[in-house]
Amino acid sequence: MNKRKKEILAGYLFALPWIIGFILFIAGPMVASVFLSFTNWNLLIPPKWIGFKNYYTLLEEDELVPQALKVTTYYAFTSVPLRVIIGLLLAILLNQDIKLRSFFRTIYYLPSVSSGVAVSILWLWLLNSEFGLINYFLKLIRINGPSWLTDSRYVIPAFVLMSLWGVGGSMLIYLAGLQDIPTEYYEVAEIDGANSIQRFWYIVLPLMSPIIFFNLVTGLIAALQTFTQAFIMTGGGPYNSSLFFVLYLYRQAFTFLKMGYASALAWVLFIYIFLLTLLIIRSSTIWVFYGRH
Amino acid sequence: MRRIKIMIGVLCLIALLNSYLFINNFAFAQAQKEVTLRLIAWGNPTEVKAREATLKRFEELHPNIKVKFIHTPENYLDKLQTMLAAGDAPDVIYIGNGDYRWFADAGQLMSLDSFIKRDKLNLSDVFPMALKIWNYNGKQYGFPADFPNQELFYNVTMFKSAGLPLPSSDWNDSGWTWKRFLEYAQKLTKKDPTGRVVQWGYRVDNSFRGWWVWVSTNGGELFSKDGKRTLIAEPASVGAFQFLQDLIYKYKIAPTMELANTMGGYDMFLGGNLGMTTYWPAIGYMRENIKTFEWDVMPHPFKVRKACAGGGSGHVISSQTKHPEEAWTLVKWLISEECEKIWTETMGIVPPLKSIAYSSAFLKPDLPPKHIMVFVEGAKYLRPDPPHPKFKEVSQLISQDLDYILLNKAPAKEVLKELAKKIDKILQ
Amino acid sequence: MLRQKRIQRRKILIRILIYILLSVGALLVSIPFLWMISTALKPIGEIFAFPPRFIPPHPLWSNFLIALTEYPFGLYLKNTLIVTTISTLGTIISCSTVAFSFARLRWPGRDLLFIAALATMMLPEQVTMIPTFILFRYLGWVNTFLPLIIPAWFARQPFYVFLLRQFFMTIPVELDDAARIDGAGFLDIYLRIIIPMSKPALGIVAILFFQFKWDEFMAPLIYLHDSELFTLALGLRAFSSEYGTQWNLMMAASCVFMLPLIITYYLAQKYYVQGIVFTGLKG
Repeated sequence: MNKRKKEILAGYLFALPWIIGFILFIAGPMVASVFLSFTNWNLLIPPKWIGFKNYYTLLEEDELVPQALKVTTYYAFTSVPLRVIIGLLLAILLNQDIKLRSFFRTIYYLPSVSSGVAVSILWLWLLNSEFGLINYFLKLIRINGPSWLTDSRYVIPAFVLMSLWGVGGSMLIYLAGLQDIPTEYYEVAEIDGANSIQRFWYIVLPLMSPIIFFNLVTGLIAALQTFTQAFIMTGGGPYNSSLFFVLYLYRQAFTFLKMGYASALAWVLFIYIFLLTLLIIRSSTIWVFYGRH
Repeated sequence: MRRIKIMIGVLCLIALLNSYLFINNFAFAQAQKEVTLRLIAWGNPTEVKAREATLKRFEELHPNIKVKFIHTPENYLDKLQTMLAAGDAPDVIYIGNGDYRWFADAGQLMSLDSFIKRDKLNLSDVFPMALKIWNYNGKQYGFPADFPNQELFYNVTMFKSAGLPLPSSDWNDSGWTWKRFLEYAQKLTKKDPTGRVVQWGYRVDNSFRGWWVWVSTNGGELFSKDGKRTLIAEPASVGAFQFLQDLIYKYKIAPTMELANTMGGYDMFLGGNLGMTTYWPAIGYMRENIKTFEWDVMPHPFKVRKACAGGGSGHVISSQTKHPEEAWTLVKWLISEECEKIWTETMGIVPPLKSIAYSSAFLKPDLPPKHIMVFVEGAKYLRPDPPHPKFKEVSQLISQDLDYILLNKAPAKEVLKELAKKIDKILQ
Repeated sequence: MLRQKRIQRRKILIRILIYILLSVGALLVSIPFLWMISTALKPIGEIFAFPPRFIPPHPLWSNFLIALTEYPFGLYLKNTLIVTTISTLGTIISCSTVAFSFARLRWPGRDLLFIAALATMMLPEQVTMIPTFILFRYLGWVNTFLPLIIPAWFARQPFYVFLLRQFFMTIPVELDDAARIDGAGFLDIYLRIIIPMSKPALGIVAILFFQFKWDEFMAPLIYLHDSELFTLALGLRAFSSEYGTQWNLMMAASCVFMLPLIITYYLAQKYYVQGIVFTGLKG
């Protein structure tokens, strides 16, 4: 076998795990999922083909679908931008030459390490309207805290607050990016008479834009798929005002065993995420800055 | 040389992993020589104790059968359905009397008739109504594990210190109306100097039977006679739901759902912070945990007619079971006198067997509640879960929209009107 | 001279401001943790005390013991360790081989497949969840650890492939060429050049994936039915049921649950910042 052929063979061999995985766990299920979405299978009795009925129900009749999209979008578009802004500002602060820097970094990072189930339970307790710490502190400054998780106006803000607590994860990524900016840039700018705000706007922001972009996209995709917190903390309530889309999907699949309908919902979610991501990527050509000068 | 060493290392690792998984499977297969059944059930700590006691005795009597108890205190139906859908069905299933019909229609349950006939099983000691509940479309799908009804537990000590005369526990008495109940609840609700409520009159339960008793005592129904539409938006039913909403938000004698959930439904009563509450007879649990005040039971307040919810739960066999014979042996034992005695002794719940229900095993004259006969006599007024094949789906739908009422988003009439439309669609 | 002094003073003021901001923020951020520990040490009666007290007068360290023994926590811990470590190993191995192929080898369709891999990062897990559930049902793997472990051995998470590929591309090709002159094949290059030089990146992948897997909730929820198989994430909910929540025990158990995550972060600190810097998420 000649060298070229050897390389091609090696190429496929090394990539084999992913190729197999892609067929078995991604492409295959995707195709199956499309077919599923045209049936009303509940896995217990033989499936029946019902054509586009699921999609029709989804788009025309089911009012929980737009509700779920609304809730999920509200959460994502509030939480992600806030996380980007706060994460970046935090990283800048922590990039300064101050004592106890690594101590602070650790403290801010810790919440994001412990995400998921335990955090949901902790915040369930923190947000309790009678015994929770948050309302207690609010009471200390004479504010009557709302019933966070049972008031439809405050339930999503509660989730956003919770997500902001874990901003340390992305902060670390921004920090790494900041450290990559050569100090000469700052020095040159300072010599040219730029103040700190101008330095931020013309040096930091452009050079950080790829990272910001990355975090924005990945953050959005993750936020739109929120499940665990909603499942554990509110179960979609109060009256569906925290009915995150994936929670609704899970409910259709496992509480009502409507596997076909759930598959259709999954595709709707995918298309939604895809379009939003495309939008951001398109817009990125305007504000994201690659290259070194 | 080094490269080969590394490769050998990796291969060893993979082999190790494979052998681990293989051994796991193998060991499992080995264990199959003796039959292991899986039984899925919910249960508070006392129930778990009773469950384990009965299963231990069963294993003593049948040494070649082991029973693995899958305890599922939360999201019970979700978990059960997932298991069934995954082809991982447990052999014996503990299930509510309203929910099993859906599973029967989905072909998930095994009918017991041929076994009953073959073994000439004598079921004359079982309360006929209890047995009938588990008969659907002419087939006997399961046996009742109990035959309870939900009545009103109340804190006698609290009543006395509020100066309230104890209501009669006689089912024939007609004084215990909704109006009287409300008066009592208002007198029992107490605040501390800062205005926080420290003692509540009643607790609203958002489970099916928790509201079904109120709808029933108001003369309401869930399904029309022909089962083709729902009557949940009719005035009788609306009145009941509105009353419940008012108990929390208008009369303020019941805690909000959030507060009740945080402190735990049982815990509020057990802790002496709740005057009255509708519960199924978790008498064993209460006896174990209430030591600081006197408590008793009485019939549920009525408005239009006397009624109580309940009907209990029973054991059914999955059609996916690989051990039908052993599963039948277990189910047969669970309805036996010996098993029901153990169960009743620990749980204090109303047994489905007449002989035990009227014996001291259940009645326990020296222990509270003094008026335990309320449960036995209440069987006459029992309105079990509606035996409609789509009941399970409908009750799941209702529990999702119940939020709107119990969290005061909208008056009951509006919510139920919308809900009725959704339910009617399923019933078509 | 005066201007210098003014600038100096401003710099100090700004520094003080930063300190204050960071300290307040750090306090706010750590309060939930402190509250968690505080609740874990309280007896049941004190949890609902109002106003809430931060430092319980009689800390019940025994709560931790009860939480760990009342429910089979040792078992859940063992299960979680098995699932997490085996799948982390699988991820490292499979993602690095695949990344190596994308980064160093040229073959037809490579770039197309790489974009496909990236695109799947956008795919919500739920699209494939149900058919995958049906697949595992067909294979009879439900109620075992297999559905949680096997996909990791097939590079199911393309994010790590992406991370590693970017990193591999920063390793100078000259090293490969030098090795090839010495007669090394592709496996050699992979094992003796790429892997040893990628320790920080591999470390990051291992830690990120470990934390992700330790915390995984939905998959265990769907696939693990017998409570003997439960992972910690599932077991944590055992403290709450329709009968009320034992908040103190649940907080105690949550503390223990979070501990490995925090410890792994600590051990990995230097890898973390170093690794991310090199992987250049700028592409």
